Amino acid sequence: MDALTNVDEQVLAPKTEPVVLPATPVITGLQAQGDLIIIPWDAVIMRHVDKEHVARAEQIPAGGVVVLTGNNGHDHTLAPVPGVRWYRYRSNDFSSSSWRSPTPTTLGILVVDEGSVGVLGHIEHGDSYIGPGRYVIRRQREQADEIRAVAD
Amino acid sequence: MAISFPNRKPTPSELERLRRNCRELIDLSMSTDRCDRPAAEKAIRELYRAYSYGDPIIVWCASPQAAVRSMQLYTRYATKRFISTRLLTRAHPELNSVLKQLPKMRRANLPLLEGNTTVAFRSDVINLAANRVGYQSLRDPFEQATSDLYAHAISEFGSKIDIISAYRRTLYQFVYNPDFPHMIIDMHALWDSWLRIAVSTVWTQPYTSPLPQEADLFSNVYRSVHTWWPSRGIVFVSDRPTVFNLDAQHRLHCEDGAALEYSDGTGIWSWHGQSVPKKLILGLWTPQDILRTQNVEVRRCAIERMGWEWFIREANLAPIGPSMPDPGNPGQVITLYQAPANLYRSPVRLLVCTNGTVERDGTRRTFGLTVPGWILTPLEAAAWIHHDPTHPLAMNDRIYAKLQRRC
Repeated sequence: MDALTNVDEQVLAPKTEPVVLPATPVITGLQAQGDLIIIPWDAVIMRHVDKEHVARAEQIPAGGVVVLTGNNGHDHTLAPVPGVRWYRYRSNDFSSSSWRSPTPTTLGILVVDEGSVGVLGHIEHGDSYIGPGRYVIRRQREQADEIRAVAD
Repeated sequence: MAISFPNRKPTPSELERLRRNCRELIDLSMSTDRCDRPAAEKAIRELYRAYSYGDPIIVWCASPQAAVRSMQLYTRYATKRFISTRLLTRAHPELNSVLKQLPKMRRANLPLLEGNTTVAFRSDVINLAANRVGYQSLRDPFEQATSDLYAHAISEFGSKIDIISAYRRTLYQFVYNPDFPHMIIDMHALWDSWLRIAVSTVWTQPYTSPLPQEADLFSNVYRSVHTWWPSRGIVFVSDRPTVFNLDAQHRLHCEDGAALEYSDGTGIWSWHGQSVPKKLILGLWTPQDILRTQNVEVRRCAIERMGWEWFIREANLAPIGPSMPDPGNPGQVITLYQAPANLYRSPVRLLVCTNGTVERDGTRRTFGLTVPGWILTPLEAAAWIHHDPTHPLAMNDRIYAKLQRRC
């Protein structure tokens, strides 16, 4: 009887190893998620241009903010972490440039303060952790008959 | 009695009513239920009675295309009196379904289709409204108020309002016949929907007053039929579709069947709003078929449907230069190919990349991105894809090679 009970236990309750996923690294350099790329804004390049935009960057509202909506409904979202600020570019922000591409692909500025970690989430591609610094989030562009933005 | 439209933005309750009306119209446009034929016929006869046009013959068809064909055959039957019925029905079996619905009368007495009748309907409604309330007071404030409401509706619903116009537009491609004034019908229907939205939203009193009752009669008809072609003595009516598939952007789209299909089998096959041949959706096209297509949008849809991996394999494209390791995506490579000359209007090259993570079925998703023809290496292509010339922060292959992680 004991031998049979032992067999049942082994069959009905097999030992499973917990699955360990690799930890997502916190990155301050260049990284990409799906069709978005997160570009660090290095120290000296054209700092004067973005001072105003950085000043307008605001705390992410609770519930997160959608950075980009993909074609199949999966959004890239920024999580409302304290110390992370986001400013979405308006259409007249770079109007001083002499020519514009048909679809400006840079979406906005992300500012992550010291000590916090920005989280850009996506259902399919997984989350990206962004270390302290200033970044620009940009879409991909494609050349078909004219240059246009890639839809995920 | 003049109508004065309130010269202000809609209140929240009006917006709520607008939302409800829009929702109702959208659901009606996309409905695949069978039409309530007795109710529709009753509405049509009431409308005709109001206009003193006499009792019309009502002929039901399974689809707009069938209705147009039926109208052509009916006209031939009614006008060519010396061709026997038997000969005509043997040559065109579809005529039988029309003849079944006609009352017993001499062929010579059959009413003929008149192209301009629907124009008469529309101008009659406007004239009636104008005569009762004063044309000037109706037209400009109405357009102003409705355009304001329409703009609000669009901002609330985004592209959902465009469903109605997109759907009707697709219907035009489908029912292409320059002899019949379906364009006018649609404008009338859209005007009617507009009017109902505006009126029931802005005015607190029931919308039958002070507008003439004829507007109601029209609305009843539009809500109970799918499309209709009214003439003085005879009305051809089409039933609703059996299949109506939209994608997330509310365009006609279906990956494994017809996007819009009627009960007699006629339908539109569509990929994200672009009408495409049936074989494209079923996956029976070869790269030669794609390159032979004249329409560049259809070529693009075909590539999207089959995937670049398939295209490269079937068309035996040769890579340009060696593959390079994909920065941030360890173990994967990126490769540059030359796309065939007549795939797009300008010469493009193709960057093919593979995902780092495997899908649920064990395969890795490969996708292709088109880049200009002057790009020389895969890394340059990847950098071009992430470059924005309007932004101060540039991207080139040196910077892109330092990509730390791609997920």
